[in-house]
Amino acid sequence: MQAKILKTENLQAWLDKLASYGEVYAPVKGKDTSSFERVNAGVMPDFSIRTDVPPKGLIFRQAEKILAYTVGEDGLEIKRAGEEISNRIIFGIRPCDSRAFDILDAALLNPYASEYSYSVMRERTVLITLACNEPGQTCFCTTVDGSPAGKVGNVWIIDLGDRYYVEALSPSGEQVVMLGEGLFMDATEDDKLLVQHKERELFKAVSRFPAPTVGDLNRIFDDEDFWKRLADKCLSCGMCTFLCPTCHCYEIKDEGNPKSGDRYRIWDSCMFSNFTLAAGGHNPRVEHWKRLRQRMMHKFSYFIENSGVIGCVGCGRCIRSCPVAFDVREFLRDAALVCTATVGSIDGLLDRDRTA
Amino acid sequence: MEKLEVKLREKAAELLEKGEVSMVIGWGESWSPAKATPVFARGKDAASKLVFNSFCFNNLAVYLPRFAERVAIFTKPCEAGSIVSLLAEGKLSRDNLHIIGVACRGVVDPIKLKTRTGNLEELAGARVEGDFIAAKKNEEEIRLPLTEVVLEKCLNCSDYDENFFDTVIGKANHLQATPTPRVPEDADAAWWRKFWMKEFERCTRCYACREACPACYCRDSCSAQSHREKWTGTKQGPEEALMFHALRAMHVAGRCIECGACERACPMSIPLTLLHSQVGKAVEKLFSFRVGERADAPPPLQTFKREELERDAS
Repeated sequence: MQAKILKTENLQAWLDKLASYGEVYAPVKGKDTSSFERVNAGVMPDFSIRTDVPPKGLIFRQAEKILAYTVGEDGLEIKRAGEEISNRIIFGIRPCDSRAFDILDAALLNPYASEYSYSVMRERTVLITLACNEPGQTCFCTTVDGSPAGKVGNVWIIDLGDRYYVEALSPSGEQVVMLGEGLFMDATEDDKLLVQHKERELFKAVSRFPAPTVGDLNRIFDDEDFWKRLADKCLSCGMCTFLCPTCHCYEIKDEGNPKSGDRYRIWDSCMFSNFTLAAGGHNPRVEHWKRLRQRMMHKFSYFIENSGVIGCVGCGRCIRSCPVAFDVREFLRDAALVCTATVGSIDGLLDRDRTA
Repeated sequence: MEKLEVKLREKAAELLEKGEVSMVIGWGESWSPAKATPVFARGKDAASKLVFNSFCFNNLAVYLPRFAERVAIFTKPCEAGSIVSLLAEGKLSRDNLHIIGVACRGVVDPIKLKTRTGNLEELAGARVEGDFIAAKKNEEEIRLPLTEVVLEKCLNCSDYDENFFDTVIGKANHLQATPTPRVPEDADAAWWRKFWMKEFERCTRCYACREACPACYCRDSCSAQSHREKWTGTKQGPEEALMFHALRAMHVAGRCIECGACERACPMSIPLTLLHSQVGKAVEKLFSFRVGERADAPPPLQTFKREELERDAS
């Protein structure tokens, strides 16, 4: 499909038409926090904000009922939940959050253990990605293989001031663009050149810094001092994992009695002590610094080894919302420094006190 | 640089150099000028990174039970109560602490600041100028009176007992103003229920409130996450969140100094101090007990006196 142009004043009309496809979610500013909410009469989207809460939970819900069971006279009956999900569109999702779903796919849709309700939700959701014209201070997508203008999701749009440039990236993307037929014009060669220029400019707008490689991190895994000092201020709450667009660890819990009940898949967090608590009381990660190490290693080492992509999209939410201002960029810089230092100076670097 | 900060760094460097303590816990600069971050200074050089200003909103007492060695800690006088309370419960040893009280002019409430200025991330060069917060946002100068953006508790700040501290830096010079009530005077149980059900819709149960709280030291054994007894359910929703927060409020009753660390830690900006001040009022009325005043008095809910049976909290 040819790239399109949508005049700014026609955006609302397109949004209205999208409602015929399914539920439409967009960034909405709440009283205290911003998040992706269902837009209908009375709820106005605000495309200028990078939301406090990522849209992850719209597809990978915090508590998902996966089955219900009853034990009757005919024996045990198990009913799978999750069939009643309607089509939905997430409109105005930023490239980082959009790319996060590719990372979740790698973890949750892998052929050995595909996550059923996630796969259904994912299949029925169309992502309309809005290029990030105003990256924030805590954004670092370019360091983790992303870009504020990254072409990800099913439709990609970029704000050109008085008009939007719209490009469908998949068949379902084409379908939702077609819903706005009549509102769009074909993009001209000049539009395309302007967009290419903007893509380059936006990429440059987010500062890049050296990050450690998988090998680097594996080498410092045993460096207790490094991790302990890194974790000095960490409170070991689950804020960073719950606001992270790519964190996906979950556990299974049953609620009910021997006669009937429900089984849920609920978010878990590697920052919690009981995350690794095993039968018999054994727990390999009792100390909080080991849990922080796990989170960093999973994102920047294990996930790359397992799936070939970095497990972080650089959205900066964990930096912005951390109660003690822990800065993951600081970790990446420090780890890179420690690893590139010659053996003799590693001790010197470790003695350096960390303040941010 | 502020004179206070010079003294603060000198004191920290002195303590470390003399070997009186192995570490000084204080505040330093973070990625945002409107947000300080905890600093753990183990050497003289690190002491030069310590700061103190109205953006130092972390209650550092939360870290103390982690350390067995002798440490020094900077504290705002109002939050010294957290240390007192931990001492009263036998969680800390006074001999292992060098407590440095820092005179405070009031601490900025990040939620109020966010409400007034939009995204904190866009605030450049935020600083205190006299009784104002000055900052820049998209090249536009912002100037807000401190009284309008500080924590509610800072407007009711009272004098403190200097004898508790090993060192005092600066002279008490706190703000005085009348806080705008956040809750209607005639709020009854039904009003509160409606209020909390709405607020707790946002709760993600990340437990940042609990982890930031010096009184919540159960840490990894919190009953909210028990695998055995299910005190809170699996489903997400305001009812389950209310159960957790009510449970926490009862567990810290008579031990909570209402420092507000929980509220400031909350990524969803849930006004948790309102819950804890309600409980605090009831404790004070029932037991004539003020939290954080005496290190030799155990919390009232850990003792039993027959006459307390007769009292009514309402």
